[in-house]
Amino acid sequence: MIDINIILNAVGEHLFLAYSALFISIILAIPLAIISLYNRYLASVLLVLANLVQAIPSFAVVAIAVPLLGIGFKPAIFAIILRIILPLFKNAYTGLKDIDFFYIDSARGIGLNKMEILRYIRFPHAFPAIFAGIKFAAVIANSVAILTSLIGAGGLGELIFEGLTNFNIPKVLTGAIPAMIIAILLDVSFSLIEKRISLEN
Amino acid sequence: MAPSKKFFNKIDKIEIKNVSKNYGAVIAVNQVSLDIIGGELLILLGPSGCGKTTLLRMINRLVETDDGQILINGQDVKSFNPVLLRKNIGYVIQQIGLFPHMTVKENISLVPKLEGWTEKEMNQRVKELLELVSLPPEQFLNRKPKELSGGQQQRIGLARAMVMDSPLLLMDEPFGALDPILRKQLQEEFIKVKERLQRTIIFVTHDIEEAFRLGDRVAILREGQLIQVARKNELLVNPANDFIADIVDSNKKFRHLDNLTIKDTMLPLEKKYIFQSDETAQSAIQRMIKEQIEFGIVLENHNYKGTIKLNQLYANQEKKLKEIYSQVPTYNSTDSVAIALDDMKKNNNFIGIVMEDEPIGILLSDELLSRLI
Repeated sequence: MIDINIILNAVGEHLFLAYSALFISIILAIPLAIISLYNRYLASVLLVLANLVQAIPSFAVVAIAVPLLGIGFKPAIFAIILRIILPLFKNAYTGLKDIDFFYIDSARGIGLNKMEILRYIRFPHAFPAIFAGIKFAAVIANSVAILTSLIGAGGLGELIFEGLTNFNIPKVLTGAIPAMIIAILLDVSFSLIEKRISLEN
Repeated sequence: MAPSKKFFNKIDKIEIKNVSKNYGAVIAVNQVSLDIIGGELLILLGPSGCGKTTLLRMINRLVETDDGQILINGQDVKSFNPVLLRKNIGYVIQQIGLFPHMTVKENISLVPKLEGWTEKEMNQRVKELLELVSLPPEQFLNRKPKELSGGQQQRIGLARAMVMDSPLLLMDEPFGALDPILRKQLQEEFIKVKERLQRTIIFVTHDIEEAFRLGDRVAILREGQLIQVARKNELLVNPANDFIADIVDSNKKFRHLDNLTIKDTMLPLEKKYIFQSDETAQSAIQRMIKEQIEFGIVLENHNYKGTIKLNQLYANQEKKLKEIYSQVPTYNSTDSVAIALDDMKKNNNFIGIVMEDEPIGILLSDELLSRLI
């Protein structure tokens, strides 16, 4: 049998990796989206990149991180961020941007400045889209965090890949089952929050 | 309460001097000069693309002039911070632009909140304004815009524009998207609000009937140029050129007014306006919101009993319609329009029911026709 502490430890590593990457990506993507609102050039470059990155297999993104940053936790987190930041950006940007002109027009007309329009009009309007982006990014981060064990980031992926190479099926399952449970919990909890947001809006 | 920086207590005069605006090769506004007298309601009238909206938006600097000057009480609008200027000027647009994620109260009190009013001050002001626009506050404070009919949304839009108590109000086709009967109802309501408040109002429309009903003076624009500005009767009697003669007399029917019957000019009665006398006010409210109307005709076994208005239903939700309907004049479909309109004007009615054996149509007052009779 495999020590329960090993599993818990792996779960901990996995969650820490996936969520620090998600957190950093959100912190970067939203300001980028805001800046892009007022800078059309930046917006179009980032949107093209976002669409490109969507097409690259996650495995390739993980591989690219190695020549740049070596192996371990840092390149792993870098790879996940690379994979999810642009979809996050894209959702936030389109949510902030795609608002009927007359809402902005009436907001300006009654005397709101740019920051106030952003805060009181654009953000609430974009919130469902931003949140959908976060949900999507969380799912991707969760799966890429399995792959990154290949470049020495540890976590549940390590159990799975070690089990696979040794034909140790119980070991594969001790990695795979928690990973699946995390994915399902993630989806259910995000869907619940999402429902609540859309009800409030 | 007023904005933290109050630029004008009242409007003495607005001077538009040789103002122009180009969009690339398109000249939207071409050398327009126009004085607006404090306290009047000036209509900017013209076909779409004539520059009336652009001219309006130059006053609160949503559009910047390329050339010329706009002075309010002698001060160039460009000398003000544009955001503060807009807090000093009420603004209403056709699409209304109520923020969908905010309640009615939050919509109206957004600018006061940014100005740091207390909760108590905001509550009081919002209640005052809702009463002013004939919406019972307790029913509407906490609703979201999508729970309101178009007419109710437009009233909230007006309330929001007046929240800072600005002496100048800019209105861009506020009633343009509403059906003819509702538009008429809101116009009549608006006239009362206007008389109570005594603001200077600049009002854009392409509807000449609306211009003649609401305006003190009418400025007619065409292809970016001001063609004529005059009191209403002067436009009829003394049009500056054929274009204006054409606008004020656009409908050939005026020429043989005497031969027109009511049936020629009424709006045919649509099913959505018909309510049964044993229906409750509550269910009538729901139907009206759904149908985007605020007026209905009450029948009892196909017999006409009276009419109802949405506003009056809210206070009587439990009652049946037969207990609350009121009367408006009825006319025979073969009567002369001239006589009917004259009668309506004298009695200050703006809506009448056209009868044969049962109601078949709705007659709306017609300011323009009335003036020609």
